[in-house]
Amino acid sequence: MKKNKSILSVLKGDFFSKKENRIHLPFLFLIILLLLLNIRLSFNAESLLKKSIKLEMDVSDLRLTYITTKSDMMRVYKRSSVEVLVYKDKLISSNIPPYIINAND
Amino acid sequence: MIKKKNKTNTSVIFMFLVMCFIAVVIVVKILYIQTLHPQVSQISVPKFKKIKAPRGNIFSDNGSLLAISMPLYNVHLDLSVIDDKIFEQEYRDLAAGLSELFKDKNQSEYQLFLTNNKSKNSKYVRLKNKVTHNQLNILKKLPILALGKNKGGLIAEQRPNRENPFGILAKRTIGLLRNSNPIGLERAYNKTLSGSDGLQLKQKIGKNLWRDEPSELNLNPQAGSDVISTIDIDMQDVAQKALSNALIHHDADWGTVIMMEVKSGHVKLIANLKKNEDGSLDENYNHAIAKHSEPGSTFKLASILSGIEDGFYSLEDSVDTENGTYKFYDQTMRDSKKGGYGKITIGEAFVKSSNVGISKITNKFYKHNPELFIDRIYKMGLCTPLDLELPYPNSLLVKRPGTKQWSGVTLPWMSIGYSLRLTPIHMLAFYNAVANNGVMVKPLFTSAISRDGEIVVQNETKIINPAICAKSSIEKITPYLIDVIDNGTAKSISNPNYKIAGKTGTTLLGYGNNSEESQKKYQASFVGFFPGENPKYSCIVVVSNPKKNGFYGGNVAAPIFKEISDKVFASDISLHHVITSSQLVNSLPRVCNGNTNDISNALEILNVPYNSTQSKWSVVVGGDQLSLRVRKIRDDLKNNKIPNLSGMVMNDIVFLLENFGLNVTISGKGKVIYQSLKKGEVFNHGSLINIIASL
Repeated sequence: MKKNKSILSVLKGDFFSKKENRIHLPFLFLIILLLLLNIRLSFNAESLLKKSIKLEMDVSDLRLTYITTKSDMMRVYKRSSVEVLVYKDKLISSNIPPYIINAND
Repeated sequence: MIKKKNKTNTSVIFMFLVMCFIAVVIVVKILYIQTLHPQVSQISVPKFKKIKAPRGNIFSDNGSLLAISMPLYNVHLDLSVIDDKIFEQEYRDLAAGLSELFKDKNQSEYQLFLTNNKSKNSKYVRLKNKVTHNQLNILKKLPILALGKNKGGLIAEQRPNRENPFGILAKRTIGLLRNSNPIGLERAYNKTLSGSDGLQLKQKIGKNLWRDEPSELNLNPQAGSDVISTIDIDMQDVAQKALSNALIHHDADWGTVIMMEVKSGHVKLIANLKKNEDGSLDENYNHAIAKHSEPGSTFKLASILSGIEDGFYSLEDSVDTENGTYKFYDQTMRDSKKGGYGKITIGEAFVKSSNVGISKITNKFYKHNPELFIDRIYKMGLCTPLDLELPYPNSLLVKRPGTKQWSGVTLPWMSIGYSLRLTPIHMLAFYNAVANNGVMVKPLFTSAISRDGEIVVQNETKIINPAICAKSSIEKITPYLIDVIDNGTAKSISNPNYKIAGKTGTTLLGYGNNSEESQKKYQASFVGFFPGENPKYSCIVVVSNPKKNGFYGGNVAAPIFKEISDKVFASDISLHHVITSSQLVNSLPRVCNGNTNDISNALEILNVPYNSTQSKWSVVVGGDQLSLRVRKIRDDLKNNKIPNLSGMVMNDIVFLLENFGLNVTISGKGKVIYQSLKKGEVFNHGSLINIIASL
């Protein structure tokens, strides 16, 4: 009976009705607040982590785009490719050696 | 009253207990899933994962990318997931997009491909292999495929790939990393390029999402270093193109070109092309470093240097080349010129590449002591493997006296480049030593190893032999090497702007097989250096089995050398010197007619003396000194007469003519070469004049 009574008293919230226990209420509320804060922060950290991983994937994707574009550009940069491109303007590679002229001479 | 109160409490408590029970069940279930459920517990346990170290790149000497790790994708389609209505509405646009992107089929072919597979509800049909990342990004934006994997059915599987952005340029030298028989720099520097893989403890937190976990066993991956090769991609391209054109023109089996920087030994270009069965050309064997063959007449330089070094003769001494044939035991030595050259100097025999002359003097002086000749060849570094960075088979062959292979005819034939086998790069290293005043340097394919853009290892030039022969011997032979081009077997490649020194070679392949004349196969070669007086580059060209348009080294290999050396000479500024004002006047190619002020300004800046005129427009007249003569263009135009416009620059003319109301149409660039209204013709306001200019 005594045991039932004590369970009942817990369930009824008698603990809070006692005057000497009321002074612990702010502390209990603080603990609850900290718990809620902890849950929120953990959730936030997890979201940031996911965002960070996604950004890393984006960076890796951009790096691949850069590599592929650079590789394509190298093909165009090739001397023979440039010669083909400018040939339609009747420009060809010269075999005449250049003159070096010193403007301050 | 009391009874009533008790009743209320009991029902609330009951509800509370039920809620508590449910909460406990949920907590127990969560704990079970997290700890005991076989699938979840296995996934959630942090695992060590290997972090692949990024492989380093291979660069050319100016930082162009020669090899880079660039993944490709095999793209498949799952057409079963695409909604029928969406497919019907958008498959034509998708087909058009695919056709434009890949350019391998037209739109209707792609439409047929899509509809056929949709009717079969194909779940995994190959769309395209080896798709680049940029192509995949475009694919993802095409109609239907933009809906994603689950609704658009696009499946892209990444596959590792090592890309050579310049295609087959120096392909065998850059190399291939493969499980069996890796080759080239990729193999030689595999450890440097690979770096070391890392290890990271990771916890799965979602689909394809892994969180790094701290652990003492975590190991950061060490990215591979970059290899900076000595290859000049511009020169390489020029060489590949010249070689390719020549192989087609002469219908040859294969060809190779190597060019080295004389002082450093840096290999600036190395091209190998072989004709495939379908007639196309590809670089699939490194003939330059691996093909051992008889060098032919290019070896005569070694023979002549031996004789000079041993003090047996000077180049001015004479030798009788008879009537172009000479018998050594049962074998007949022949010159390419029927009738021979008669009695000539040894120097002339070298320039004209007389087999009889060179073999006779070599046989005369070394016949009783052939070991001496072979020792000289050894001292010149022609019998020792070069210990290249690139792996290559070593089948060097130089016969030695006293062995079974040696006979009475070995020495004379060896003196003209038979009875021994050398690689093209070996011959080049020898000629490079001659160009380098006797210092033989090791051919280098890489100049440095870098990490994050910083040089960490610099590959220094390695001297193989500080003196292959006396400097005086080289000074004696060099004019004759230049004479080979000026008056000898490679006359066709002479260039007034600079001197080339070198030697042609024409080797009969399979010598001694007594083939019919029509079945004989030759190997044409040319090896030399330029500029002749102060060499900066040495180069060798070898073309095997040319079947059309000649087969001599002077006709087949030398023109390839010239095409490369001309372009290199014209583009390498370090080979040219600053010219003085007086030289400038003599060498000024052209000064256009035009505005007197503009011409005067240009000539004054360049310190070029000239006779001026007061007229606004001038004609430039050459001679000992430039003179600006009056051109009365404005006067003519004021009188509505067309002036002579020839030789004037376009921007002056358009401005002038349009000011006087003429309608001008122009084509071309540079100086005027044609005007539709002739000098003296009368024009009206709005008359049309067509002008053609040319550089």
